[in-house]
Amino acid sequence: MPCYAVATAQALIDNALFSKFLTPDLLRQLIDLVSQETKIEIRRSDYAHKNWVSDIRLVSGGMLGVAILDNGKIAVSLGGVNYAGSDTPKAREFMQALEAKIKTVGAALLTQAVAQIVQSQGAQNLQTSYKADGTAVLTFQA
Amino acid sequence: MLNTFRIHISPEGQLNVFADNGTFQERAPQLAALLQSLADNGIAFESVGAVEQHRHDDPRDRLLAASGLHSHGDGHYHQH
Repeated sequence: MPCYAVATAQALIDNALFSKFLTPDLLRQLIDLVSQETKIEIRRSDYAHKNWVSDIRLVSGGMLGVAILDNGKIAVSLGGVNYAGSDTPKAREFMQALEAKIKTVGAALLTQAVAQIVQSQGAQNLQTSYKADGTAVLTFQA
Repeated sequence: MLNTFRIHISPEGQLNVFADNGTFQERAPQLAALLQSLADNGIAFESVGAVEQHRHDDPRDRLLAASGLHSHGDGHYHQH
């Protein structure tokens, strides 16, 4: 009888994968990339603290903070109560663009990691393609 | 004999793992083992669903499949 089987799982793309692959330096590159793409000019202050990655001051006003938490999750937040005037429309726009960029990178990291694992398990003829909605499709034989 | 598998990974991190041929009894344990091997190699899962069977032996199912819908054989249909 023709049939196929399917299983579904929800991966935590902002946890173990980010801890392994998304370093502070790479995260700072993403911040600069978002600045270029949104044309929102920023001044970045980097920190060597184990959690804190960067403070981002918008030239037009507003401020964001970026940190990698102990659980691997990336925290992008407006400046907070100690920074009067941090919450501006441009700062929110930058925050949303950065969060979207991190999500895109997370999905790409997940796809790369899954491909590496199935290949290490002996998968043959592995091919990767993408649907219009950004879904990655790995096809292989085992 | 090699069997064909597919893994769909959505931008939100949802994985759908498919076996396109064979019987459900043959493929279900393989899909479960595949997800387990991903977990064993560092992919953290928030949730993992049971392996389900999808059939295309009904012509109506083939029409639905062509439009991106699938039957679970129990009267309900959804899209992957």
